Amino acid sequence: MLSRGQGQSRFTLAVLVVISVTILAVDLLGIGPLGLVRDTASGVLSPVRAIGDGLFGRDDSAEVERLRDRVAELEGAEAAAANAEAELRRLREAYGIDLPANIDAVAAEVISEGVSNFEQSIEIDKGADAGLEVDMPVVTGAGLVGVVESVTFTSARIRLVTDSSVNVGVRHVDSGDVAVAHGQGVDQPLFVENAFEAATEVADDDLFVTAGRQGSNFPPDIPVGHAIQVRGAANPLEREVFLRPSADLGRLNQVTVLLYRPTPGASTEEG
Amino acid sequence: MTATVLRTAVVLVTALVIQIAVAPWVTIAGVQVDLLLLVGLAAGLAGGPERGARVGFVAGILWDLVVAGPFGLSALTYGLAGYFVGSAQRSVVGPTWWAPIPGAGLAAGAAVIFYAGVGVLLGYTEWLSGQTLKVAAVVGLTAALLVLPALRILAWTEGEPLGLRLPSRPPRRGSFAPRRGRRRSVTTGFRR
Repeated sequence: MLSRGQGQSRFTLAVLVVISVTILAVDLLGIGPLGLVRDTASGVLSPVRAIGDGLFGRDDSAEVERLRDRVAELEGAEAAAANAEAELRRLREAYGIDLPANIDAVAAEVISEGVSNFEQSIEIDKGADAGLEVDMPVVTGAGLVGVVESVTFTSARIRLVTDSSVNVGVRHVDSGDVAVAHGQGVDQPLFVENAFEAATEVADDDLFVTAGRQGSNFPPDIPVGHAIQVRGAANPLEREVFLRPSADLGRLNQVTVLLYRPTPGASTEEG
Repeated sequence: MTATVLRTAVVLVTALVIQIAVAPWVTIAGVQVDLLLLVGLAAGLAGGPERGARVGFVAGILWDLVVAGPFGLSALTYGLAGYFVGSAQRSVVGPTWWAPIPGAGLAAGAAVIFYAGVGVLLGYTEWLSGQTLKVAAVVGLTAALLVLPALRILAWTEGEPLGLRLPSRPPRRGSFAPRRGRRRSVTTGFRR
């Protein structure tokens, strides 16, 4: 038989469990003001993150040193740099992967990485005041980083492309075949599931870019990743591909938010 | 009562601020310490299962406001962790000064695995990975290392002085009679 204290504590636990499960259900169903509450809390706590960032984080000295070396190297070999630039231009034309030039963009600094051990997100120092909106794509010079998940007036949270909730329509540059890639978590490759017919030849290091179909959240031709593994799918007529993200998601200091709004059209699986 | 609530609120908000501002920069193998989970566990160890459940629940709600995972999952996890670690401490292990160390470590690791497991059921499939085990191991280890000072702080919220004291020596083996005038250990906050 339970003592009075045990019965009381079990009753308390039961009440708290019911409240937690109710909140979980409300959040999963997307009803109620939980998103607004979270955004408000994120805005309120943003200065706290900034203080921690100022005190402990984002030591760019190694990066600055590396860039100085790189500048010196390029200045000392202008001919080689010109050749490399010409080669880069030729390859981009061949593959048709120039970053979209006619889309307004906002450069932003990463002010915080994910505060949780399970979070695949970063926070940047630009927000609605700079024109950012939810679902806008975020890139670096190397490729796609993620999408804007939430926005406050002066900051925004970016969900990285490695998060399983981020789906990106991708195009295999060599074959032109289109599929949907999604993240699998920290340090894991992107997964293109049941993507291509077995006849499509996908080799290691093949480049995949955003497909950018009508209604997509992403403009076309942003590098997403390179193939690192190709294997047969459960359906023998299809194959699965794993991609290494083009952008180095572990060393993000500066990113660019493309002020891109999806063109009206058929909805896609992206998000 | 009011003073206990106020002091607990101060501890929770302080833990949240440290978690946000400092913990992301002080990691072990890329994994952060989970201070809010630690507060919930310490509340259960120091004040029993009901207090552990209440404080853990509030700590979890605060953390849910900050992270992008399913809202309410931290509250559920931390509340359950505070309750069960408090129950186990009182009914299974007994009030020895060292028991909170392995207790908090195991409970914190189990809480991380519970959180990830429920997350997988809710669609966060990327949490089903070796990374989760690494997070559980590091969070468990850091909880074990930090639980004794955390117990002192949680004992302070219940009105005990915050000064540091060494744990009292355990009674000699074979000695059944309590020593007259012996102070009870306040390191763990248990009342014998």
